Amino acid sequence: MSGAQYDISQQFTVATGATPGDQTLTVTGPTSLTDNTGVEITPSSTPYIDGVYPSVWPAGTTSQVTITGSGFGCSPTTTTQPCQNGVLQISQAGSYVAFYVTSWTDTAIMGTATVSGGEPGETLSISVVGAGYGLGFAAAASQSAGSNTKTVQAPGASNAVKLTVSLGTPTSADQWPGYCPQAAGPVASGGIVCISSAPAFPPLTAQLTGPAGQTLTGQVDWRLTSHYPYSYNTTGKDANGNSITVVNNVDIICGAPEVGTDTFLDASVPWNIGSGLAYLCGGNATLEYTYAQTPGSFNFRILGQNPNYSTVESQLSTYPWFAANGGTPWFLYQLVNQESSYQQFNNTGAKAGLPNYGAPQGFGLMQVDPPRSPATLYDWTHNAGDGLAILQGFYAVPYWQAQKASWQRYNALQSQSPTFNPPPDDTEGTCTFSYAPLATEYPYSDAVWIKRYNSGGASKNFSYNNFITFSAPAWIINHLAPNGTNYVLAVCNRNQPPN
Amino acid sequence: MLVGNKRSSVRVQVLGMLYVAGVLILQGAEPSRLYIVAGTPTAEAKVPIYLYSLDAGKAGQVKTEFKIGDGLTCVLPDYQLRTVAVLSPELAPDTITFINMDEPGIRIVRMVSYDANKFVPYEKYLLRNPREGLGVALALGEPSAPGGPLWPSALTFVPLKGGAVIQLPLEDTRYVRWAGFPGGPLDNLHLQIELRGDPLSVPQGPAVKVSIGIARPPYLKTYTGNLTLVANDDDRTILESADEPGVIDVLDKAKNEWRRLPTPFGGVLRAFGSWVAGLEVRSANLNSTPSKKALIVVTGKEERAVSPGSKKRMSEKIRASSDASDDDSASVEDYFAMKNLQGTVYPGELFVLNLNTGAQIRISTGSGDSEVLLVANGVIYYRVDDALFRADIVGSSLSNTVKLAEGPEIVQAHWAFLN
Repeated sequence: MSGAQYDISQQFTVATGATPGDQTLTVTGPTSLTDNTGVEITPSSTPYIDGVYPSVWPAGTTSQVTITGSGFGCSPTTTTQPCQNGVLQISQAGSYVAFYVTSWTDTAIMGTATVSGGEPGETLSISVVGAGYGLGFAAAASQSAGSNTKTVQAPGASNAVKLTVSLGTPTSADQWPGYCPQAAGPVASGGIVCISSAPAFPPLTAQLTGPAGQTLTGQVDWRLTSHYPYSYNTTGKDANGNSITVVNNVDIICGAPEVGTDTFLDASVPWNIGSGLAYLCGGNATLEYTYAQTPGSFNFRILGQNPNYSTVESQLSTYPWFAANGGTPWFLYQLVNQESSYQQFNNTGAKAGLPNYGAPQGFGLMQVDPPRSPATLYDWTHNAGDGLAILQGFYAVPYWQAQKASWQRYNALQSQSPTFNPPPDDTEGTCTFSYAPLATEYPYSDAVWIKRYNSGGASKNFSYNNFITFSAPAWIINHLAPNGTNYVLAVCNRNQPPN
Repeated sequence: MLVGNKRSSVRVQVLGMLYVAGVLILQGAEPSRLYIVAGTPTAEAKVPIYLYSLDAGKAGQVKTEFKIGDGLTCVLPDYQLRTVAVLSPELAPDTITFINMDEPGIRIVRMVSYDANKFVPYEKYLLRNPREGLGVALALGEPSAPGGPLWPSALTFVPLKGGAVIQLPLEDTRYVRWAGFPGGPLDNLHLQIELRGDPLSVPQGPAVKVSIGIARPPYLKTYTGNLTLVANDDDRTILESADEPGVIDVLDKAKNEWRRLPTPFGGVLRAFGSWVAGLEVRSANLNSTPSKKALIVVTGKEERAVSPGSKKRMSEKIRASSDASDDDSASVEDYFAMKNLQGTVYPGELFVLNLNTGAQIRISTGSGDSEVLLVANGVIYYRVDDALFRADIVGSSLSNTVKLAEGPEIVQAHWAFLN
């Protein structure tokens, strides 16, 4: 540079209140030199990148990025001039990623970048060309304005994986409802799949692939969680002891293979979602996965379809306890018809495919209240088992025997009083209940049994609320449930097949 | 074991006499723990049965000793033999839990098996058979046998001492031990022991009467009405006649002497040694009262009687099973519903009567769900809804009334003993 002539014209403003005396003027330029005015020009600092945050730049989304280090130039402590000539270079597979600067100081650069999809495991190369201070970078001999290159993992690239949730060929349905897909194919986000009438979980698989369908390496962490929220009212008391209505919110949660359980599979293997299910699961489902430390999710709905009547009846009649206790009760199918019209799921309307619900917490074929497990909602065979176990618990022959014995005993002691009669027959629709039933009649114990199933909670089954009770010296017949309905009549008036 | 029981019984009686003589001096000698058996007999529900204990002299915490079972048929206490027998589950008991009042931490459980779909225990007795000792006897019959009910022909005896369940002849009914009924609207009819004839005999069905070996009171030789056993132990037999409420007949077995004693009112009676306790029962004149109708068909609109304290009872829950929620449980008032329908009123009037001195004490609780749980050692223990009280008996009055406990454990307390 010796002998070169430079003309520098620059206007400086001395701040008000500056200390009087000799001042040093430093000019930052392309070389280090001292001019004939004795003013020294010093070079800019070489930029250096310490860190890049965050470490994950999801593909297809815009990330807020901060790059820390030194020598980026344009420090507000040294100049108020706008930065010029500084460049942040982000390289992805030989291409540059656009970066929009929102803040640039000597030690930090902030801005946004949008990374396009790329290969899993791909990296981003990040470097900075210093901005210098004021008018640009002033380099000394052999000094570069470029920083070190910070190579960061490009986890954003893994988001380029593609999730495919596929429905295999659905099994045939007895009553194929319109809301259920009837052909194999991919499931759309927010789409519907159906538990079959068998019942069986839909043949669902999930798999991740790379761009252009490449097979991925490494493991995928899979999880399925499904929710069915509902609410019901009970009575309670406020702080002053006044009766109030309490709204109880319930969320029936299930999962595959169980709630809260992860399935780890090689990424090359599709996850058979229904494999190893603890029990059938439905509702508003969320499929979550994590691959290469990057999570993703997919929402869809699992509905149900109903079996036909004869299938239900076959299932009901195999309940083992019946064989040892007089066989399948004559009223069983009528009772199920009354409870649900044989519908585990709603067949039509806005809630088609959702579990058949009856307040306060009754679900499914036998309106099991409250549900014993998620399977009560989604597996009609399970629901039938639950309901039959409840019905078994209300078996009323011992109760009726005791009522008869109590009346007989009381009568036998009435040596001085007129003998009291047994209760007269009671006809409810198509049924006649009797103390001493004829061939076409039924014992009173059946009426007690039927009524107890509807009353549900044990509080409604105490003496006075039984269909018939002997309380000396009177027989008391109470047709009415606590809500004022005659359930026994309703069951008796039900036909088979359902009406 | 019986010898030990007798010794304990004597000890308690002696303490009782000393206590009467000097309440203040001997207050520390009062047995320290009051044990209560809590449960509700039903024909439908697996109501859990518990043994609780609490300080017998002052307010304190109720301690759960143990759960006895689920579903209660009845409780048969014998204060003289210091034993409580709890029959469970409901309706068709197959489990007898014996609790020794002197060692309440030890329970002896005996089982009996029969087909509950076919057989019904028409009678449930606590018996002390001379050969087999103390035990529970079930008189099993078949109410739905072809051609009409098959009445009990023997007693199925479950001995406390263990060993096989055996059949005893109906004649062994003479060894029955009986301490009366718990209070309130509990269904007691199936336990009622009616007596006929002379000597006094227990009907076992319409055709058989079994003598209990006790001659009818001479002044009732010509009485043709129903007699009911109030209590029967080694010392005395107590009767009441259906047609004369407010009167009891007491046989002093040592003297073989009957005498007639007035009581303040008729009702539900029980005995604690030389004390008889009563709970008043009245009849409201409703259109549906059983005296007018032997068949009541509930419409929901019929007239009903109401016993005082209904609102309180609606808030007191009786869990129908161990895992039942409050919403799924009956209230105490639900148990009053049948009685309300039949016009039965419990006004909350209690009395105790000393058979030796004739002293009578009345307690007006103001609540229909009240009863005397125990009288022992000069102290009365009684329940009002979910609160348990003790009071010293001084002559014909009470003093030093203390509320010992209050809460859900007390609601179903119908039997008590001291240790």
